[in-house]
Amino acid sequence: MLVPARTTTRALICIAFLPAFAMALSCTVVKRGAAGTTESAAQKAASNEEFDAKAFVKANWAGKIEPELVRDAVNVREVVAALKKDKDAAERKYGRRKDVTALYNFIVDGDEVIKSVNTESAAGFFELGLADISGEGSVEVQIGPVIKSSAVRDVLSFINFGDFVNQLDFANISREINFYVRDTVVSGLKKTESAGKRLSFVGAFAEDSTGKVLITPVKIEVKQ
Amino acid sequence: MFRRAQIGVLSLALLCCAMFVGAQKLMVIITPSHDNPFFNTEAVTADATAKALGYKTLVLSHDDDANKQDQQFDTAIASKAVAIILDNAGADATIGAVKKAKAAGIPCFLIDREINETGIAVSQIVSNNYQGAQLGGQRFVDLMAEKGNFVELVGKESDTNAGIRSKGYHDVIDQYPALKMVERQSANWSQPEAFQKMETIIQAHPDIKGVICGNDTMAMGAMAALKANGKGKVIVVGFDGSNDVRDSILSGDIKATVLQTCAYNADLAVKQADKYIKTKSTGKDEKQLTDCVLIDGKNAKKLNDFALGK
Repeated sequence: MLVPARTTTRALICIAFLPAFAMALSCTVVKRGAAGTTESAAQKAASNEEFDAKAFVKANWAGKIEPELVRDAVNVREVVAALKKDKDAAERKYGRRKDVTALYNFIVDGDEVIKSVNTESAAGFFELGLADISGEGSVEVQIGPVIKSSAVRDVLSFINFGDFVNQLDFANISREINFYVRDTVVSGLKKTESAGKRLSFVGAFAEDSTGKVLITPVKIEVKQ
Repeated sequence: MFRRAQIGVLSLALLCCAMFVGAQKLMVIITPSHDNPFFNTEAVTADATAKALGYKTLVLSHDDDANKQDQQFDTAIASKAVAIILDNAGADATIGAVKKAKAAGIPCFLIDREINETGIAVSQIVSNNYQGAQLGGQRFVDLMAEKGNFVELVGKESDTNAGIRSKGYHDVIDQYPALKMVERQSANWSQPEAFQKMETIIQAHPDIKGVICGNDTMAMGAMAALKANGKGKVIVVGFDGSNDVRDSILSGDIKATVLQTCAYNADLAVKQADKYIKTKSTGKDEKQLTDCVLIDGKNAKKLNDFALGK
């Protein structure tokens, strides 16, 4: 007696909620379409059980990743000055992030003098002749071999957490981006010989509570 | 039978209230054991927000038992809950329960841990454990000056977050060749177990420079063992952002931990549930990631009950 009664109730509830489900479904479709990411590489990749982040980064580097940073970069002097002057306004104007609790990330380019080269740390960097946001240190550009931060992933508009199965797949995108930077972008640099020369670069950095600016480059050239 | 009848009457009464009086709809809040202050904060915060928004609440703990969680979903369905707020008992084991609730017209809002399926919960507000572990791992590397012997204490192997945190640590640390892991053991998230294991490890490796831990209770156990053996200078890093570790950081013992914004997530989930009940939309994507925050000597004093003050 109980079973059919329950089934009826469930069926009724289901019917009552059908319009809501239909609405939710149609909303999702509209959103994806509007964002222009229908059948994006990310979603296709995410539908596979074994997501190959390395292949994803390799496939998207030349066509999407580098072009988006080159297109949207703002001169590093302008961004640093704006963050110094009015943090909230600068974040709104130049910042990008994946969620409201996350720190902002910025896409920058520049042409600056390399003041010094740090190869002592495995996470080596060029120190530029330009003060950071705190005013106590210099803006730094990563040269590896260890590349830190997820700034490059977090500025890319076509990569969203919701398109991936879980946080590990999402994290692996950033890891592979950093490996790509290590193996391709900075691998040809003559590091120690670069001090005193000019550096032209495009990259991204994540806001840091100390006011430090550590840029991950996607394009880099030491001028002779 | 009698009990069922009672539940039936109760449910009917609840339904009447909801339908005709229009007040006091029920929100069910299910989390792991409240013995852990992290989950307790989650439950207390969700409960307070729900009550403030005019809901009745039923607060339950599944104790990381998927069967128990399943029964609690049945209770929520029988009680005609309008929403379930859930920190779940397993990424795969929970899928069936959430599907069952959805079929019964009860929307689920997940916090902290994610499940391996999308399209059945309304929201999954996930703590980015991996990002947090990378933060902690990076600070550990900096504190170690990129070199020396270290020990890793891992959480309970069956818990996804134990693996995710360990992977996050290693993805950072393993890139530095001069950092050498001399021992890796599970202390099952437990303070006494971490204390015992650390005592033994110290005998075998008197030269360790650092200990990285999958959570704060293990960090507390490790720190106590190190101090008891005259090794209070060893670098210890934890994960969670508990008040105990905050106090240890402030007294100069443990060096850093990583805060998951659990109070924020719980509050957000209930607010999204409320919005969804009223408008049939949260206005947000299902999967939402909330970042973790590094806690060290600079900001530790602003930390209380898993929330960072201004």
